[in-house]
Amino acid sequence: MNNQEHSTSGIEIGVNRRSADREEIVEILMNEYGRSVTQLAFTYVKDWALAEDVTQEVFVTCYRKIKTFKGHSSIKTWLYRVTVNRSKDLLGKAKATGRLVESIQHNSSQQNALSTEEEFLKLDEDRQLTSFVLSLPIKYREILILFYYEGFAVKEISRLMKMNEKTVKTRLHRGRLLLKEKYEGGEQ
Amino acid sequence: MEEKLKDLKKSMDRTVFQGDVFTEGNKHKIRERLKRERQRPSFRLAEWFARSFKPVASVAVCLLLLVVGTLYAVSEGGRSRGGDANSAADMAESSALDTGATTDKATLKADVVQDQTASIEKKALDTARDDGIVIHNAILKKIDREFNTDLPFKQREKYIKDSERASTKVKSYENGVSISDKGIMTSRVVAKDGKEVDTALLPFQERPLIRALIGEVAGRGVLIMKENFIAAGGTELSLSKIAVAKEKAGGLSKQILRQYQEKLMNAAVGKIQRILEAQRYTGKYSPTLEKYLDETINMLRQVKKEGNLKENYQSYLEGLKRLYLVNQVLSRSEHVKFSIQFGSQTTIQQPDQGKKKLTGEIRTSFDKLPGGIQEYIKSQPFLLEHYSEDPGFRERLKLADQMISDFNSNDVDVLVQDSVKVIGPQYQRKDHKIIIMSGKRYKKVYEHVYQNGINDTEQKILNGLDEIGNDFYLKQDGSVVHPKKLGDIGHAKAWSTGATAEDLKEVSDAIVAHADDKLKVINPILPLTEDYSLLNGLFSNAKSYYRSVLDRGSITTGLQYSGYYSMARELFIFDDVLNQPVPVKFMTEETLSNRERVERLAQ
Repeated sequence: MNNQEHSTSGIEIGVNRRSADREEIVEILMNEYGRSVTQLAFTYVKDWALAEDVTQEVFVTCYRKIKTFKGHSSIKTWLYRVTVNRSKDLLGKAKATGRLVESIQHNSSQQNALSTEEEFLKLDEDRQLTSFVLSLPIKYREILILFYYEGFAVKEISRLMKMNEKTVKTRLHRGRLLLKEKYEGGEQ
Repeated sequence: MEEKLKDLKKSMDRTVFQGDVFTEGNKHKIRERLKRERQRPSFRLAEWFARSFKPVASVAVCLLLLVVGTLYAVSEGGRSRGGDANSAADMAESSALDTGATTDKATLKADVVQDQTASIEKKALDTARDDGIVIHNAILKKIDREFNTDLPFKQREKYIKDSERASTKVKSYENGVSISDKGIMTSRVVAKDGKEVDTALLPFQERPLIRALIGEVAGRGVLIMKENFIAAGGTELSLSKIAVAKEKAGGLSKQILRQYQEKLMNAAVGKIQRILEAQRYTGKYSPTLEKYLDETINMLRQVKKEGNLKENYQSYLEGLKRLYLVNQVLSRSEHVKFSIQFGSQTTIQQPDQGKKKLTGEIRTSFDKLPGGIQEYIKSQPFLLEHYSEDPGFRERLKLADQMISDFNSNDVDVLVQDSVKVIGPQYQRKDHKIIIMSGKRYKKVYEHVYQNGINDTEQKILNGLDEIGNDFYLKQDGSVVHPKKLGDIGHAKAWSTGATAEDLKEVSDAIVAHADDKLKVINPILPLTEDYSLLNGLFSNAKSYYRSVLDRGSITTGLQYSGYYSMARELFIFDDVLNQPVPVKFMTEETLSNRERVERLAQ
């Protein structure tokens, strides 16, 4: 038996096990990270039904691939990586099939063509901030979410996104600038 | 900006991430996906072919073609080579397309299977409609009538009022307590000549328990869907699903059946045990239900290791269907009209069967009833059936027509009950009445304690009773509630309604801790009760119950909570009756003739 034990956030998992064990692991992960995974997926797809689809895919992938998890990163990072990939896959597919409404992908400068969610969210400060963040281009949005919402460090993000630390910092900086511009534009 | 972003988490949690974004429903869907994953063979030749062998083979063929092409080109004096490159590219593309085609075929196959399933389901539903509903309909109607109707309560309330008004003779006792000639006792005493009461009708306490038991035993089934063995539970289980399984069972091979025989047997045995448990409570007021469950047990007993496996499986499915149907009936809080929707899809149309039954004298007497009453009875198949079969009902209606000036459909509802026992054992405190299960027990204890005076031992027992009976856990926030009225206890039924897992765990933990506290009170009191058989029984029951809670260590299901609720209610009533300095009324049961019933109604 080639069981490797990994501990992260209080979760200990043994990998490379029987399907029943894998189900158990997925159950634990669902309980621990199900919410976060759905939320993260939502920040990409901006649609709860799609986020739910992504979450399902993430845990099914997790079930299939848990054997390949080497433990070089934390299970959370691994799970988030899968979430990001699946979300992007789905976004790609949705874009190709036109499933996502265009307004979700809109550019923030198009203030007169607000998405439904923006209209809903702009009501107060919280909503405004959320709305602005969600309307950023995906490459800045994901970094800001991972950094400010999920609380990952730059190094962790670079590992998770498989990109250079400097790129992460640059995107973080540009993301902030874009957000600032939105605020300034909104306050005018 | 940095400051604002630091609040991003709070902002998003307050706005888009409000509420439970990952629910039990989501988890369930994932579990279902995983179950399907598990059932897929670990090595899939077609997939392996598509993913591994095919691309490699394509490349090899391309290379071969390239070599052949090159040789050909060389031999032909170096003519065009572009075609080969193109063909290689075409091959690669073709390979990629083939991979896609495999997926498409799989999708197509899934669609076809789905279509077939839909067709089987439709056929099965038709079968279910004929075979399932119609056969059981008459029996289920009867069970419903015996089990679900609340009419006796209305009847009792009315009678109590009437009796209070009509009471003329009141016998007073030394301690100031009195009892009327109608059996209504006031204050803390029971007449020596008072009738012993026992309930035969709809005890509050046991009805939810039977519902829970039958719900539990019916709510999960194991079905073999061709090569898949699935455990359908809760809302997933439906009449149509069972019917589809039954339909498909014909096509199952012996090998598959043998593979799952053990699981089927275990499922059947588990169900039998739970049905037997439920049956302990059913006989008293729903003999038809008892008989129905008995027949179901016989069907489930046919699930054996030996014999015709297909027949065994069919027996199991038939048993499951019966449980499902009766659960539908029992779980309805209101009186069932049998044109209701059963399960998720099947609508039962009630045939106008009663009309045909009304022949001869019965028909003549029916035609003499007022038009409105006739219409009302005809609109309710079970009333029509009752009219046809029950001479007592016919007589009461005839009398009612003569004696009640504004005879209407409400009166029909009251008069339809078979039972002539118009008052169940109850006690009344202030403005609320509590129907109690074993009125005889309460009365005896009450009589013993208050007619002979309370000695020191009895006072200690009563104090102990007060400690264990006056508080228990009801609310789902885990706090102790001191119920003041029956309505408070009623909240306990809301165990699974809207409660989060955390709430339930909190209550469960509190109950377990509470059980420990109660045992600390019960243990020293129990020896004192040896000379008082009923109190001894009460304390012994309470001890074994709380012991079992401690042993189990948690309350995890509505059924377990129902047990807790029953125990708490019993203790609460005893405590309330014996310890609270408020006059208590006991009301006894009385048998009335048809004429007396109509007279009371007419009054």
